[in-house]
Amino acid sequence: MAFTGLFHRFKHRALAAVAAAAALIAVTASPAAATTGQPSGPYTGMGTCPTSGTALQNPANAIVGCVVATIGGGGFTVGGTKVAFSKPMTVKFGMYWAADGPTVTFPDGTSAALFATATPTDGTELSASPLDVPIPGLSNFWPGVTSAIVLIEPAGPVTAFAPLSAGENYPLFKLPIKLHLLNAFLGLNCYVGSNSSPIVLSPTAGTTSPPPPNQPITGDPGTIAINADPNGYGASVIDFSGATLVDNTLSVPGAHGCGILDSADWIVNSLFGVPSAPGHNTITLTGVSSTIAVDSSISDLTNAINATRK
Amino acid sequence: MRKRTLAASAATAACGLVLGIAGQAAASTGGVLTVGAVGGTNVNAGDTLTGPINSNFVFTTSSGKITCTTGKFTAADVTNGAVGTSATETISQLHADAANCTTTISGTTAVVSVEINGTANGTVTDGASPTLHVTNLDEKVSLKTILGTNVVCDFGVTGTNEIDGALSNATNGATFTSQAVTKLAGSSLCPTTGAFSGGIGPITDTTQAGQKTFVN
Repeated sequence: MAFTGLFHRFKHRALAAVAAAAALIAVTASPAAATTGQPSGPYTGMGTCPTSGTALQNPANAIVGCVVATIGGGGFTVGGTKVAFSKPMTVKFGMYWAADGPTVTFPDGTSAALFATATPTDGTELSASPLDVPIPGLSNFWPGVTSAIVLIEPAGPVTAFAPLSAGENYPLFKLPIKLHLLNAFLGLNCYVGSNSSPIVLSPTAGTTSPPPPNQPITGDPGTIAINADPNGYGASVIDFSGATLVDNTLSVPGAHGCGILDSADWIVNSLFGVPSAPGHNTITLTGVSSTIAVDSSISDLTNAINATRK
Repeated sequence: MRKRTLAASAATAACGLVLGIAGQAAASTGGVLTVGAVGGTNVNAGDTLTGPINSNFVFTTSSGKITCTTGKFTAADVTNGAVGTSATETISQLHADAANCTTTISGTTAVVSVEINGTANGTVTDGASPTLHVTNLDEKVSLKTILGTNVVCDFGVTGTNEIDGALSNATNGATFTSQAVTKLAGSSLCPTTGAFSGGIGPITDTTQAGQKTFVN
């Protein structure tokens, strides 16, 4: 009897779950029915822009937008370890700014809005291929054993996104990341950086002002093209291409979670030279191409994107 | 005889100086720039020369153009050589009224301000084609953008580069036609090159009762 009652409760819950799932599918399918396919043309890659999320739907927003950026190459130097980015990385997010939102003014008089960002609908703000990082002092003949496979993972949302700072001596954005180190002896939870203590990238297309021993280095804003929406909507699309972004002011925290009961943290710290204070680290992002679709109206931006879906 | 002439000249000059100090301007003539008429009284060093935009300021770039319909030019005369040589001036104002400006430059929505940054140098040459040669020009343009805030772009000429305006005694002004300028500083959203056209006039000498200026 008790078993039967349990079965009925399970059956009811299962039916309820199915009904809820069906309702969810119906709800998510409704808008998709009018907007099937992926955005194309200038909005390519913006299918996960959170245009229907509360952040971008906020009526207080003066400017809203969607961003897709590809980082073609580059690399980083942390302490004594140099790593090249062998495959492209992609960054996607939504952006919004209220008319009384934060700004920064540069010596030449230009002022840039500091946009807040919203995570894409699939939750994937940063996509990066694993990096095979040799362990200093070892010949890397067995990746994952004689090297560490490093995953670059986001440790929080992009903040202070300032497209108008391109070419100024100011960060284009702040991106908190953590490095996930995978190695047979390090376990699955070995990280450099964390959500609470991330490595914060603040790359600029201008010139850095690092503490010594690093010296100022200069990026390149590349070329910029601004085009109106091809279908007559009010959105504009800003394309930055061929940019180089640099940051040699960042700090890198020590490792944690490496080995059994963090027993290998000190080994990682010793091998890779972390924690590493500002002035000893550099990151260079080359071949950066960004597309920013902006509009003063979220409904207009949404329609502009949907009009290109194929 | 020569001594007497010099003495007479000196006396005349001294008299003129006294009269000038007393507020009765000496009526020297024969300079490149004169007021009132061709061959009139010279523009004096230190005189303020000013005039409005009389032909739209248009700055054309590959990504659109800025057009301004009203504004003002101001300069101070530095030297005024004899006819056949040149006059020089310091240009302190090349202003356009932002309210009467429009922009079609991609990514921008409005013109916030158009002002000269510092001073520029002007040299007036006379002859068959009298010309105002402007060097060391830095025109600062602030534009509101689609990203909510303003970019500031400095356009102008440096070094030996110049923009030239044709001077006319019919309008007492200068007309610039498709004069090349480059971006001197500013946001990467600013176009890197462009061409400036526009006119200013009539240019008057406010130090000499606002009389119109002429090139001889």
